Amino acid sequence: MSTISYVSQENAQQTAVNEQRRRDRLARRRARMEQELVNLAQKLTSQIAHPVQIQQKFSQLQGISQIKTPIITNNLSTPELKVLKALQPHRNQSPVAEKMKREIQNLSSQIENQNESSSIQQIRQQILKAKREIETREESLTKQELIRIPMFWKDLDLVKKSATLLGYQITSPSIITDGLEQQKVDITLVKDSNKIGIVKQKQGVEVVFHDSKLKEQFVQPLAQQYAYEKTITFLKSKGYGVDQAQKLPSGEIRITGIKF
Amino acid sequence: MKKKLNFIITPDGQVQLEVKGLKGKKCMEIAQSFAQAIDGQITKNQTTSEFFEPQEVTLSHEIFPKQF
Repeated sequence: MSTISYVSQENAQQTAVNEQRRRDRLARRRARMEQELVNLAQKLTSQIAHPVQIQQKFSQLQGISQIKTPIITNNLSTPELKVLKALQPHRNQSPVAEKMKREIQNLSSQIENQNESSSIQQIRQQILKAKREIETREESLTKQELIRIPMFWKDLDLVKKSATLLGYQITSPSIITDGLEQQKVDITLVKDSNKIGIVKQKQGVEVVFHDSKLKEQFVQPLAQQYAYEKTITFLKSKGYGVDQAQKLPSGEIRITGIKF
Repeated sequence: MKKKLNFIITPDGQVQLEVKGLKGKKCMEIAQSFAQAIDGQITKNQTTSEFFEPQEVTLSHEIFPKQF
């Protein structure tokens, strides 16, 4: 017994229509799925900054293990390229990406500002250090300033004589210096490489020297010698004879004048 | 009467003067004259009992060169 399958022409046409409808449904479904994929990808783009992550997610959804060459072209021949093409305008417009970009820019600016601030701070510290050194140097120079002692020594010839008796070499005029300070003097007394300056003033002289030790070693002996010469001159002028003049072990000079 | 002037000059130039044998205030006058001669000033004046005797005086002066 045989079975005859009979399909009428009407039925055949209906079958073709149904088949076409089924294909259309499948096509629309495919289109909807693709659109859903595009929408999902766009959504992911707004949430995930890195395009590679989006591509990986897309690959997972498509059952594709990995897209190795995410090159986007204008030839939209595959659904994934459609998605990537749809992603392309959003790649650089992602709020997260923009936020990250802004943060990176801000951080870069901050780092740059910090570096600049650090450099300025270093320069400022160097300036302060140099300023302190200058102040220290100025203070040191101030301590070395010339010493001036005004004396009522009016007889400059007697000053020269006293200095000569004490072993001074006399030059004039000259300049006494100490550090940056200079003093022009009328008479310079030089002994043992040390200088004492004598400056003429209205009421007497001004003794100038640069080392406080010179006062004890040179200026005071000069004052003693000057007083001695003046005393001898005074005694002679008053008609006294110098009976005795001697230097005592204490450094004092004793003079006795006698008049009958 | 012998007049005697004793001078002591210290290492820093101070001068001490002792006057003997001068009458009355003449000893003071000579001390002042000496102070002027050495461009100094009298810083200390000490009289002895002889100062009040009518004829003879002993007077000590310390004279120091003036600084201005």
